[in-house]
Amino acid sequence: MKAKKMMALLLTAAMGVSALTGCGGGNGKESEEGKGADKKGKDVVTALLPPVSATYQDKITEYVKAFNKEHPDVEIEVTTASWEDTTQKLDVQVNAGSPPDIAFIGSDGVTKYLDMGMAVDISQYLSEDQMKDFDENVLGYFKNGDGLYGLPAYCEVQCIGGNREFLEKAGIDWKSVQQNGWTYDEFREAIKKGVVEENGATKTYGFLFACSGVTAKDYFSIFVKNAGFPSPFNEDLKYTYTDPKMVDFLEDLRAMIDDGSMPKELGAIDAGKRWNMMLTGQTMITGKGLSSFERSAANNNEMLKNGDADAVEGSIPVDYIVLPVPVFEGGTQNAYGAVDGYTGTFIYSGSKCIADARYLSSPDCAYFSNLL
Amino acid sequence: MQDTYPALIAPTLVTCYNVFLAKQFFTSLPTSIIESAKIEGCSQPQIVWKIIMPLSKTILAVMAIMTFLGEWNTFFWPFLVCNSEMMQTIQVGLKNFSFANTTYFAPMMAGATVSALPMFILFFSLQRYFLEGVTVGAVKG
Repeated sequence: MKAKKMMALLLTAAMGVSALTGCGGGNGKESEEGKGADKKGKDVVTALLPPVSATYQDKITEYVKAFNKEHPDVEIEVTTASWEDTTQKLDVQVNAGSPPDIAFIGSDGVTKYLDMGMAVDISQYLSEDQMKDFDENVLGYFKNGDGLYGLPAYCEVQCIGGNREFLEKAGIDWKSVQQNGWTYDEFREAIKKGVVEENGATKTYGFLFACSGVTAKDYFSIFVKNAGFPSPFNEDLKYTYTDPKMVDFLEDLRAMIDDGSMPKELGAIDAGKRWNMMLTGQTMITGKGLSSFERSAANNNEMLKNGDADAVEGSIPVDYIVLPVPVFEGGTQNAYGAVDGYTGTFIYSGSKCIADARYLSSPDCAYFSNLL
Repeated sequence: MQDTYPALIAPTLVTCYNVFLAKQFFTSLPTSIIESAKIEGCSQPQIVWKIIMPLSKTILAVMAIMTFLGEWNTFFWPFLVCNSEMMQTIQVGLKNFSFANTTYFAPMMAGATVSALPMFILFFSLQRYFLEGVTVGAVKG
């Protein structure tokens, strides 16, 4: 019996330790000098930065080195988390009471962390000149009331984009579309023409939108702007999405999936697969579209031309054409601006974080806000 | 304990499933063996280490295999507790090939293939224990 009790005791103790392994905000470097300082007396600034692009981590390393040359008393600890999961990690860290000092978030996430009392107004740490480095409108995405809760890394007007060769084969006057826009009906006709069947299977779809992962919500948010709902709230602060027109809009969105212009497996296509299908000629038009896609396609074309093994497997040369989002009945052309903010940007309240925020005011912090 | 090996290992040292599996196995051991050991003068620790443990190799192997397979494939916990790239497990690291608007499928798939190899090797080399062990606690008496 004693042996059984001893084993039970050991097992219980081990399970108890297991339950505590994720606890605590310490990283093993904060104990001696207090929170925010490591054993060498350096201030430690933690940053949660997802890999925005393939070269992002290398750039970050360069920027941290450059920053440390000027500020040898500061240690920057970069935490990486995949793009799809970074918000989840940040939320867990915030709720666990051990958030990073700096995090990369979309500007639409500011209010969430502000409501949680975790965001700090950084305007007090920035000089007028530093504020002027940013476009006022773009900077406004990170404002709430009089407070500034982040600095933008980049701003994009979201659109859709197509393969020039495929568009022309389908008889679509893309130049006219770029200049004059198009209606939902015109768009549907166009994407139907873009479907190419081969041996009883669809070789090329007319349109493709990433409907899996974090970009899935864009399928709604980008199009809804052009359907007579420029904002979820009207001027009287009434919620607009309960308007009967919304049902028509949702049916229109669904129709594009059901009519075969888009793949039926749309729910499994994330942002990466979407772009892969564009480069491999499996779709004529993709959404969402960003200006950086033009460069990405050009880079891949160059790699194909040079026989570079890094070119996307099975890809074809793609001349990427930016196209406007179609306008739905009752709507007007509206741009959907996406401002993902850097975070040199997002400072959390906490004993060390306020003090560390002063580094944002140094010129070198531009490194952290101009990565792309 | 974030970003440390104990943070990765400790949560799976003892699990309810393994405790239950082991308990079922231990109750199937004949009490007469333990009583004989006592008569021969074995202390309690000696009974555990010299009698029970050697008889429990099968269940220990099963627990080791199943724990390894489970933890090798797990994503969320290592994702939460590992902050530096150096500490990331392969499953967490593979997701770093997925960027904001593009995914490097070739290295991701290559990594996924490599990550499957240890499981294949472990499973086939300990297949006998595995098949024997999954039913070991199922029948009592």
